[in-house]
Amino acid sequence: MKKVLIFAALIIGIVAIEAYAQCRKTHYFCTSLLSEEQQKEYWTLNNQSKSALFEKGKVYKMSFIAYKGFDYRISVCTDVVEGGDKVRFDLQHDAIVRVKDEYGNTNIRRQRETLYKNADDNLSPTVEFSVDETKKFYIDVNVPASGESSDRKLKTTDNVCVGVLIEHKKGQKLGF
Amino acid sequence: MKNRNFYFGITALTFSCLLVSCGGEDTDNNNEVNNVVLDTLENLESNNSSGVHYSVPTPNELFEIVKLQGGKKESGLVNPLENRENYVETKEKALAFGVYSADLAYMSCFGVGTEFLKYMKTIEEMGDELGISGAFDEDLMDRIENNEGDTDSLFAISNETYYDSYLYLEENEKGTELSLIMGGGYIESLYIICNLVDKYKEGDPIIEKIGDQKLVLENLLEFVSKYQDDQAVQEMINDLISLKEVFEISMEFKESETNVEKSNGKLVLSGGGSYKMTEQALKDITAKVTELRENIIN
Repeated sequence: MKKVLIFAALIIGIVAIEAYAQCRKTHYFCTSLLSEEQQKEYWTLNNQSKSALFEKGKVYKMSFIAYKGFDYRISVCTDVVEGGDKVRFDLQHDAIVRVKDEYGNTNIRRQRETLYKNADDNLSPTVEFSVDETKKFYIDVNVPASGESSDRKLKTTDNVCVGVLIEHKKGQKLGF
Repeated sequence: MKNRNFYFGITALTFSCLLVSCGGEDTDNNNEVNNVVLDTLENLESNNSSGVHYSVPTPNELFEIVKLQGGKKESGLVNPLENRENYVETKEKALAFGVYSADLAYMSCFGVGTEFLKYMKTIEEMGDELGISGAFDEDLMDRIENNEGDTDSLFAISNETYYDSYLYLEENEKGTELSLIMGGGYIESLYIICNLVDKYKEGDPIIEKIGDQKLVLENLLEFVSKYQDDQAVQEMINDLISLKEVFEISMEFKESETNVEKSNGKLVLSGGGSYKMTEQALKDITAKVTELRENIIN
């Protein structure tokens, strides 16, 4: 019995690693959601892009740095087969603000602010932006609760692959 | 947990000092600041428990933007290959691996020197010793030899190698090695860009990029904190925290309101508060990163 359990654990482990590895470059496929015109534009793959195996209905969170001087394009996708729900995502940052407490004291706090919601933009899978100074961003990806992964190993599970593709290109204002 | 408490305590303390020293930058001097609630244990623990993945820009990305913004190449900045003999322990090798990887990114981006192949071979051998040789393509050396002298191709190869190594290490549960490599790469990149600047000039984009490394350091610390149970990683975290303190004490904080505009289908995001470089900050950061780098390479 013990041997069977060890064997089963090994198999589960191997499947999990394989599934994880399967997801590793999901973000490469996010461009397929873009228009032909957008696909023709020249952007450089940014190595802060991330793919992950994630549970349906949960929120995947990641943080990345955007340098002043580059333009950025963020595209978010899953490997859910056609017909599944579209992905919702938010782009956020931490503003550092002064807040008065109940005693009238001024405190400095880091406050998370949402800068963009694709839900307010027809669930667009992509957003382009530039920054006036280098910033740290957060992306919240709401993984659809329904739909099946296109990966046959994940079809019968509650997991799907999620990809956040970050691309950059030289901004218009560079140098002195 | 104890170390995290220490880290966040230090952050809050140094930020308090920063606010005291930077009163001139405040937009509203009538509002005396009574309390600073930044990077509290509560905030960061809640981030971690919700599983935020912290990405860190690669040295290639940094050198690419520095070059685009007018950075000029300097020779003599990379870690000499002769130093390789100094690295015996696993921690030393992993940190040095990161240092040499950043050197490769710099050399390929700026077209410095003709030793790209030698550095790549050294990295490959060190990767072998660290048990991470699977991170390298079998035909990697052939591709480099075929593209020798072609800066763009070598830059693309070094970028690709860094990313593939990162994925390999993450997937193969070698987070300790990955943390040390990323830490070594960060220190070396910062050291190099600090030494691309002759003197302080307000608004210099390269100096701004040095200040921007504070944000990169924050994400790096968040990323490596997952592996802080390892003593070598913990020691590196302590070093990085001491560098973070220098950033926070010496840079000036400027408050500004967040603004989101849309122009030609693109968002333009501005404001939200930021740190600004000063002449003193440049001196302090350069001195600290030089000290940390010396400890790694010698």
